[in-house]
Amino acid sequence: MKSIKTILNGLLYENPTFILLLGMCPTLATTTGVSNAVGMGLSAAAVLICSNIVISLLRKLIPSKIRIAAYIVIIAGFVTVVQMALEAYLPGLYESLGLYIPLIVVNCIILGRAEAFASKNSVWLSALDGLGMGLGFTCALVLIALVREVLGAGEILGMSIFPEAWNFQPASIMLLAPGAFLTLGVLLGIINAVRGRGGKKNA
Amino acid sequence: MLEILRNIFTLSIGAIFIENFVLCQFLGICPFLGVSKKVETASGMGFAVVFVMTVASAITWVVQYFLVKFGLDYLQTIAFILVIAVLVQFVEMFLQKAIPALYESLGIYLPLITTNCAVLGVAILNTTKFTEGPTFLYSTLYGFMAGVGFLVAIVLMAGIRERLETSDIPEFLKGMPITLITAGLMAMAFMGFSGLSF
Amino acid sequence: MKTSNPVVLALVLFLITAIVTFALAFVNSLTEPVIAMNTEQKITEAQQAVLDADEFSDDFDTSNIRLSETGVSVDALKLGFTDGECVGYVVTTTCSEGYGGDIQVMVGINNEGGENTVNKIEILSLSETPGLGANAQKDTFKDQYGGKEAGITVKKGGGAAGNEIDAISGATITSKAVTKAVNAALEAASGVVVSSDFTESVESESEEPESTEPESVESESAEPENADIGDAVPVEVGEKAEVE
Repeated sequence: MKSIKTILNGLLYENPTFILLLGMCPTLATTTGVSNAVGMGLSAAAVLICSNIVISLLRKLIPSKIRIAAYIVIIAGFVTVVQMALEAYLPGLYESLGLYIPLIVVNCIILGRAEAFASKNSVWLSALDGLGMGLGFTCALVLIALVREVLGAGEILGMSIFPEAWNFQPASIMLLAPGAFLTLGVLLGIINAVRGRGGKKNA
Repeated sequence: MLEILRNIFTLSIGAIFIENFVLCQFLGICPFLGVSKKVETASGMGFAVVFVMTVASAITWVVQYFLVKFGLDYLQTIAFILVIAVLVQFVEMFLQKAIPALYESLGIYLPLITTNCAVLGVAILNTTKFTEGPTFLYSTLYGFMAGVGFLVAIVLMAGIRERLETSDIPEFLKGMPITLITAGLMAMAFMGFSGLSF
Repeated sequence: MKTSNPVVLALVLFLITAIVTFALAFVNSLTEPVIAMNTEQKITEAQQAVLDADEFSDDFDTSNIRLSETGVSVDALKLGFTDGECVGYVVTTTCSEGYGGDIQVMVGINNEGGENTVNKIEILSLSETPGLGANAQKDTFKDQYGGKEAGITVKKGGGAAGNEIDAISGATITSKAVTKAVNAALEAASGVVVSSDFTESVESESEEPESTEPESVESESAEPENADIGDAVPVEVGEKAEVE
């Protein structure tokens, strides 16, 4: 069914992080812990779904020449709403995501899907595409965050997972900048190997 | 006066080395990974970004002043991104007439400077980082220096990648994986600056 | 819509922007009061947690307080009363030298027998790296400040004694910033003159704020992460980054 296919597309076949290689900045920055990753992923997903819906609704009315500018304004609107909602109802998450909340506006995933999908498809399918892509993004973030948090702090969601007796000494560098690049690079390498093809030359 | 000079020095060295936008703050990653295959295009992109970041910092400072004055802080995101979008549009038109060769080689990546998180990022950072003293000077200068930091990072990466072209890398690591691992090693190197202070 | 008429283009864009702006203004009117209420509630709860007092005075004018260090400022100062007696102070300070930016600390100060000692601290605002500087929120770190007097110093590598606290491993910058905020709170409290009817004035100290030694102004980064590698052995990939 087309609906299911659309969702699966975003989740797997065209996963925005691992296949489309979009939205790298928040991927590297907010994966220091699983809770941050979930927060960022879901916030971006919310914006993506809403903006996809609105842009699809207006797709026949927005003149082609100014479409990018119009998309940006609409996306910025939803990002600001998410910003204000987080500040009011989830202040802890708001503080730890910090600068990266407003930066959702320039997350290439959202603008990319608006241009590639929402502007050409029905409202229902666009919403599903937003859902699939948003979930795909969140899962990717969580996967990376799991690696970084376990190796970098020995914890998941702030809770220690290794028994005291093991005396696990975490590699703090995983929580810092190099750790982010290395984790993503290695994961992409593994995915490429599993898919049986060499790395794409588009990088 | 001395205090101001010291701040200027600190923020300059900071923006380029200690808190390099690409390698430490994760801003501007997409073009950093996307346009760093050749040193020539990388430096062209780098210079364009320096220009946009500097001018954007200056203009958004003025915009922020009015937003705060009228209590419209929540419109910051939307106002800033509009300013940046318009600015990039002008840069595009200018380059097309004045330096067509550069315009051609940057291609699609030129309008993509609008979505470069480094530009919006530095504009927002300026509003929280500088609260006393000549903030307009600090903001514009920081925008310029941050752009230079981006330029340094992207040209370094391009230099390395040009060399990697002729190296024997396993198939599954070619392209993005090895680029990211390289970036990780570069980030590690830049961490050496983190204890620096004045 | 297929049109190239610039007037129509500008108009449509303007219309979209206008609608979005009004929608935002609406949402703002809903969330602004909630945010303000949250902040107030957080402060009231923190106050009660840091100082054991029955009542608290109103905020005093802190604009005259001069601290001896830069990079830190006093946000609020109140007295705490039990049975009509002033038992101490609640001072809120902000240090801008955290790794990820400002750190705001509320310090409950006991004034037993004229000596100001820390009762308890609460960190109100923190943007440090999870797993490193963010561990400043853990009680094991915060409780160290209990009983300390003005001029607290930070010791790396464990074994803090006397008026010292142990730094968080790998997060010296955060530890120093929090300590600076606490010291500033103690300094502000010591400049307070309590008049007999508890309408007190805050004495401004006569020294001008000097610029501090570079030692305490370690490089900040707006990125919430910690890296005190500057004074450690080189780290190889895969090795733990234990910083001393």
